[in-house]
Amino acid sequence: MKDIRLIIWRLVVVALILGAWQGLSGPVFDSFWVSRPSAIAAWLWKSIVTGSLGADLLITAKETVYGYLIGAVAGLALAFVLAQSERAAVVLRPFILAIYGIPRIALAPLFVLWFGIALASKIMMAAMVTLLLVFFNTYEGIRSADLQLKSVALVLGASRWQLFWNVTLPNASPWMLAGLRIAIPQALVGAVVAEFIASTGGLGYLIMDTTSTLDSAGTMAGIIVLMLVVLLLGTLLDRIEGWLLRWRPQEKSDKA
Amino acid sequence: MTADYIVELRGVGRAFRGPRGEVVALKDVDLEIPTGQFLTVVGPSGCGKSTLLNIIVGLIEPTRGEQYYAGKPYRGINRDIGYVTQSDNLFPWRTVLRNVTFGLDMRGIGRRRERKRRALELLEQVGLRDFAGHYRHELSGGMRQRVNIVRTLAYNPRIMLLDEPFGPLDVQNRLQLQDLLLRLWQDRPGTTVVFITHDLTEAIGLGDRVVVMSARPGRVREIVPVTLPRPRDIYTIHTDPTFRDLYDRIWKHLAEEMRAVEQ
Repeated sequence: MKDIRLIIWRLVVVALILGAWQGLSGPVFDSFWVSRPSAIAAWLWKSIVTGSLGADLLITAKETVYGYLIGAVAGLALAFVLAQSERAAVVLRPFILAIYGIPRIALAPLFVLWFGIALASKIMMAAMVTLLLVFFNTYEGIRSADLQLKSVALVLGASRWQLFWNVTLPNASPWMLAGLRIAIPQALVGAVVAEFIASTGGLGYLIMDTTSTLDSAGTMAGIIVLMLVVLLLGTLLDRIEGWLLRWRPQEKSDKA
Repeated sequence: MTADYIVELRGVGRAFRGPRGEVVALKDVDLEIPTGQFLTVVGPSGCGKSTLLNIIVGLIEPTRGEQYYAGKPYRGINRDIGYVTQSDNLFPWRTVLRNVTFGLDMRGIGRRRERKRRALELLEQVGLRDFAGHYRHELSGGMRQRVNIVRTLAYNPRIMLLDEPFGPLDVQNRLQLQDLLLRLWQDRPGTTVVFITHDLTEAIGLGDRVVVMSARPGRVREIVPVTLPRPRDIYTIHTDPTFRDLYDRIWKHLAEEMRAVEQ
C-alpha cells in the first residue's frame, strides 16, 4: 500500500511540472524557446511512428553498449593486473590520479580526430569513460582488502588462487559493482558527447540537429528520451546490485 | 624433540620494527604442548600472547629460536592447525553454512553434499542449524563466535588455537560458549587446544595447565597445572576450594607482572 501511495505522489509531481510547463509556455515564456509538453508529445509520437527515433536510439545504444563492454573488460583486467604488484601501485599512483583527473569530455574532440566521425569514435569515447571508472573503483576495492580475512582464509587452507577467488574478489565486489554501475550512464554521456562533436545519427545528433534548426520541441524530446533511458538503466542496475550484494547489511548497500 | 609434544617452542623470540625502534614482543619462549592437552595462556596486556599464536599457526615467523610440530621443525602456515581469532572474521559474503564449509571447500575434502551435511551437523551441535542460510550481519556476537568455532572444527584440525574468543561477549553467552567448547573438545580426543584469555576464571575452568606470561617482552613466567577433575561443570567450578587456591596462586604471578607494566 505504501508503494502505491508513493507512486501516486510521484505522478502528482510529474503532472504538476507538466501542467505548469504547458500553462506557462506561451503566456509567460516564449514557447519558441522552451516548447511545451503537448508539442513535445506530438513530436515524439511522429518520430516514433516514422521510426526515426528508434533509429537514433539504436545507434546510441550500440555505441554505448560496445564501448561499455570494451571499457569494462579492459578496466577490470587492468585493475587486477596492477593490484598484483605493490611496487607498481606505488610508482603509478600519481599518474593514475592525473589521468582520472582529466575532464573526460575534453577527450571527445581528440577521439573524433583519431577514430573518425562514424561509430568508432563514439565507442572509443564510451569505452574510455567506462575504463577509467571501472578501473579506479575496482583497483581501490582490491587494495582495500581485509588483511585479517585473508589470513583467516590462508589458515583455513586456501591457496593463492583460491584466496583471490574466494576472498579478494568478493571483498572487492561492492567497489567493482559501484564502478560498473556508475559507468553505464557515463558511457552513454560519453557516446552522446562524441556525437555532439561530429556524427550522422544518434540521440546526440538528434539534439544537435534540432537545435541547429531551432526546433525546440525536438531538442526537448531528445533530452527527455535520454533522461528516461538513464533512469531505466539506473533502476535495473539497482535491482541487480541489490541481489548480488544481498550479504551486506541494508543501510550499507546504498552507500555505493 | 619427542613426538609426545604436538608443538614445541625452543627459545622463540620475535621483534617488530616500530616507529621508535625495535620492539621485542616475545623473548626466549620455551613451551612444550603435549598432544591432547587443553592449555590456557594468561598474561598482562601487550605481552605478546597473540604474537605467540600467530607464530604457532605460522602467520608470523619468529626472529629467533626453533619451532617443532610433532617433533619436526616447521615454518610457514601449518594446515593441521585451526585458528579462532578474537573478532569472528566470518566471510560476510558467505552464508553461515558456506562459512563452515570454507575449510573443507579449500582443501577439497569430500563431495559437496558431504561437506554440507557435515557443516549442518556441526551447526546442529551449537544450536544454529536454523541459521545456516543467514549472513554474518544477521547474527549476534555469540552466534558469530559459535560459527567461527565450528568453521575451524569442520576440518578436524589437530590443534585449535583460540585468541580471547569470548572476550567481547556478555557473561551468560561466555559461560554457554565455554561449556560448549569443553564438550566439543571432549568429543574429539587427541585434539590439542591453546586458549588465550585475560579472564583467570576462564583460564582455570577450561585448562589442564595455565601458562602465565610475563610483561613485555613476553616470556613464560610460570606454568600451573590445574588439578581439577574432568568433566567439569563450568557453571559451578569457581566454588571448588581447589579452584580458589589455584586462582590465588596464579593471580599472585599475574599481579606482579601487571605491576611491572606500570613501572
